[in-house]
Amino acid sequence: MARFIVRRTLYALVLLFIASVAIFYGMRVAPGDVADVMSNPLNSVYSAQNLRQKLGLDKPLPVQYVTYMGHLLSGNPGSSLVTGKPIMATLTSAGGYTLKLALAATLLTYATAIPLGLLAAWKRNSVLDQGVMVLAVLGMGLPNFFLAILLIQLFAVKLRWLPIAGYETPQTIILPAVCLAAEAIAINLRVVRSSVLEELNRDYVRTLEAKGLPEGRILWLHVLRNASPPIIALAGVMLRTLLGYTLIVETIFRWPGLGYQLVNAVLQRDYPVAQTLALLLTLAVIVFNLLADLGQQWADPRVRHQAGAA
Amino acid sequence: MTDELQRSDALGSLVDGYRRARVSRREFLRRAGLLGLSIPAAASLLAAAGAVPAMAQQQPKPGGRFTIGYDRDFTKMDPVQSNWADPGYNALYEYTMIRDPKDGNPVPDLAESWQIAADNLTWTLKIRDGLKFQSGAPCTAANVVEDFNIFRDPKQGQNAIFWASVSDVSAGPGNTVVVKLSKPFAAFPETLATEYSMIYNNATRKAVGDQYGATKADGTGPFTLTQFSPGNQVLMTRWDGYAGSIVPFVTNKGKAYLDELRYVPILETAQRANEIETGTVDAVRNPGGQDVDRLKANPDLVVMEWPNPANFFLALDCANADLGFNDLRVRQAISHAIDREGIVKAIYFGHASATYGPIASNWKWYNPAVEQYNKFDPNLAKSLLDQAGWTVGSGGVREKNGKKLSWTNVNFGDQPFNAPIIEAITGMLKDVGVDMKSESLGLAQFVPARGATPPPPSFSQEWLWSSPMDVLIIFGKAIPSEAYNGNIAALNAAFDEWQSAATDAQLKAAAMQAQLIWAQQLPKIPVVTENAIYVNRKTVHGWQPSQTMLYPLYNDVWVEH
Repeated sequence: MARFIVRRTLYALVLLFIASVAIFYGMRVAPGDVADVMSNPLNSVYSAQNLRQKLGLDKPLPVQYVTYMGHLLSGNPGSSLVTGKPIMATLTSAGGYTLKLALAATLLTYATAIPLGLLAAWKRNSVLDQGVMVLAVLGMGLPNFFLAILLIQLFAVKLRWLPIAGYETPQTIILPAVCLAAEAIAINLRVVRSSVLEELNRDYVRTLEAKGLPEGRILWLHVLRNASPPIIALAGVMLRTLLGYTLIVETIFRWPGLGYQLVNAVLQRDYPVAQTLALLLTLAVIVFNLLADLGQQWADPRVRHQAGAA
Repeated sequence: MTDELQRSDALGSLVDGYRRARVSRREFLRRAGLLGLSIPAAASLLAAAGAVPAMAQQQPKPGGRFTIGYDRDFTKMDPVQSNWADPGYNALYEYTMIRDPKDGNPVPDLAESWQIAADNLTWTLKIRDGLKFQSGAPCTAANVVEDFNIFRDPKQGQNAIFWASVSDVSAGPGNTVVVKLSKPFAAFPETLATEYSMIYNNATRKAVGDQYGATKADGTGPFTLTQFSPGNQVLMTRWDGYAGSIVPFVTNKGKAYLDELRYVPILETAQRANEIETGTVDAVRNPGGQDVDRLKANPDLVVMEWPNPANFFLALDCANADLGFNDLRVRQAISHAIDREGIVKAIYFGHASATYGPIASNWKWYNPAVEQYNKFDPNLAKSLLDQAGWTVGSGGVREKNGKKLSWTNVNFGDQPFNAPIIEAITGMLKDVGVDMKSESLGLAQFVPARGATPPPPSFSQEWLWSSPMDVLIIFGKAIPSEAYNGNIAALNAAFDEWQSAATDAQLKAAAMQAQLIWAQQLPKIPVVTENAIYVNRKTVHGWQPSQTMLYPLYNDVWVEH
C-alpha cells in the first residue's frame, strides 16, 4: 500500500508539471491577451502596449512560465491581472464556497442514490423500481440549467419555501446542491441498482438468507460492500462532471464559487488566476482519483492483493 | 422618440407611481423638478393626480444596507485603469463637475466654480476647501492636477484621447486648477463629468500598486471600499468623515444615510426580476425585457426606464471595394434592409428604441432630422443594390463582377443582446440578397479581431457612455481607423468643430451636424438603443438614476428598516 501511494504521488507530480505547461501554453496561444480585455475601447493604443510591458507580457514565454511557477511554488500565485484581487484571497473565499457546494452535492448524491438504488434492485420490477428508473431518466435528461429554472420558479418564487439565490443563509445551498447533484444521482442510481442486482444473484446471498439473516443486514452489510467497487470507481469520474457544472449553477444561483472564477479568468485571459485555478482543479482530480483507487482496494480484497503483487 | 415624448413618458410613470402610493408627495416634487417641471407646474400635476392614499411624509432614516443587483460582474474601482466603470464609482469617488439630470449641463461637485478666460484657452477650476480623501489625506488642487495629468497621459489614462486639447495642467493660487488648452474646448465638462475623470488619491494608488481598486480605494466620496470580490459582492461602508456634497440636485448635504452599500452581480437575466420581486435585493438594473411589464404592475416596486446613452451598430469597412462598402448606396441598402422596430419588439420586448442616427433620442442635443433616414424598406434596399451593380446571382446571393456579396461579420458576443440582434440582421439581409454570416467573440478575441490587419469586412458591437459625442468621435475616427470609417470630410469637420467649440451653441451646432452626416453617410450603421431599466422596492427612497449619468448617486438614498 505504501509503495502504491509513493508511486501514485510521483506520478501525480509528473502529471501536474505536464498540466502546468499545457495550461500555461494553452492560455498564451489563445487569441487576444489580457491587455485587450483590460483596455477600455476608448483607450489609446499606447496604453494597451504600456500595459503589456507593465505586466511582463512582452517577455519570452519560458521566462514568463518560470516567473509564474516561481511565485506559485513560493506560495504566492500573485494577483488577478484584471481585478487586482490577490489570488489567495479568491481561493480562500471562493474555494470555501465551492467545497461546501461540492460536499453538499456529493452527500446528497450518495444519500439518495445508494438507498434508492439498493431498494430498486431489491424490489426489482416493482412500482418503486419503476419510479426510481423514471427519476434516473429525468435526472440524466433534464439539463441542469433548465432544472435550476424549474426549481427556482417552484420553490423560491411560487412557494417561497427556499431562497432564490445567494449564500447568506444555510437554506441557500439547497437548490444549487440539488441542481448540481441531479445528474450524479441519476447516474449513480443506475450503477448502484445494476451492481446490486448482480450481487443479489450470487450464491452467498442465498446462503445468508438461508442462515436467517435479516434482509436489511444482508443488503447493507454484505451486498452493498461487494457492489461498491464500481460505485467507488465512478466517484473519481463524477468529480470532473460535478466541477464542470458548477459554473452554470454558480451563475444562476449567485453562488460565489471557483467554477465561475475559473471560466471568467479564461475568457478574460487573466493568466495567473486561470492557471492557478486550472492547476488546482487538476490536483483535485488527481487526489480524488487516488482516493477512489484506495477506496477500491479497501472495498475489494482482490484489487488489494493484485496491487500488492504488483 | 423625441425628447418631449420621453419626458412625457417619465412624467406618466411618476404620476402613476404617486397614484399607486409608491411615490410620496415630496419625492414626486423632487423627481418632477429633475424632469424639468417648475414647482407650480409640478404642484398642479400633483393636484390633478387626484386623491391618493394618505402617505405620511417620511423622513430619511439613517442606517441600513442597500443591496443592488448589478447586470454585470465588477471591475476594479480604479478611474485610471479598469475595463469598465461600475456604479460603485459614484459611492467612492466624486467628479470635479457633474451633469445635472434636469438638462445635462455641468454643475459643481468637487470644483465649486470655474472661470473660462476670454480667449477660451484657460479654464480655472476652484476646488472646494477642506476636502479629504478617505485615507485622511487632504484633497487639494495639487491632487486634482496630479490626477488630470495622469488622465491625459496616453500611456496611462483610459480617456487620454479626450484630453488632446489640454496642453498644460497646473495648480494656481487659492486652491485652483489651471487648465491650458491648445484650442477652445467647451466640451471639456463632457470629459470631466465621466467616471474616468473622477478624483482619487494618487499617493494611495502608487502605494497599493496593482491591487488599487481591489483591496483599497481612496476617493472623496461618501463610502469607503470594504470588500471587493468579483463574482460575489462589493461592499462599501459609510464614511463618517465625508465632507458633504455641494451638488445642487443632491438634497442631503451631509454624510450618507446608509450604513452600507452592497452590490451583487446577477448575471442570469431572468433572475434579476425574481430577486427584486422576492426582496432578495432592494434594487436591480436591467431585468429581462419580458419581465418589465410584470414588474411595473407590482405595487411593491418602482420601475424607471429610458434609452441608455448607448447604441448597437454595424460597422462596414468603408474602404472595402471588393464588397462595395466604399459605395454609399451599398451601405444605405444594408441599412434600409434592417427592421429596427422589429428588433426592438422581438429581442427587447419593446424596451429599446430604433435608432436612425448614431445617438438616442433623449440626449439633450439629439437631432430629430436623422429620423428621415435609414427607414426599413427592403424594396429600396434591393433597388439601391441593383443600382450599385449588385445583382441577384445563384443561391439568391447578389454578385458583381463574379464576386459574391458574402462575408463574415465579427460580433462582440459578451454583451447579452448582441448575438440575437446580429442573427436577426443576418436574416433580414438574406431577404435582400446579402449573405452576411457572423461570428460572436468574447472580448479577448474581439478586440484583436476588430483591430486586425487586414481588418474584418465588418464588426458589430454596442457602445455605452455618458458622453455620446466623445464616443462618436472615437468610433467615427479612431476605431479601427479613419479609412475604415470612410474618411468622411464633412463628418470629420463636424468632429473638429465639436472639439474646438467655444460655446454651447457651437457644441450643439457641431453635434447636430455630426448626427445628420452620420445618418446620411453611414460610417457605421446605427441599429437600436436599449433602455436602461431601474427597479427598486418602495422601501428604498432617494435612489434616483438619471438619463444624463451612467449611474445614480447615493447621498440621498435611505431604506426603511
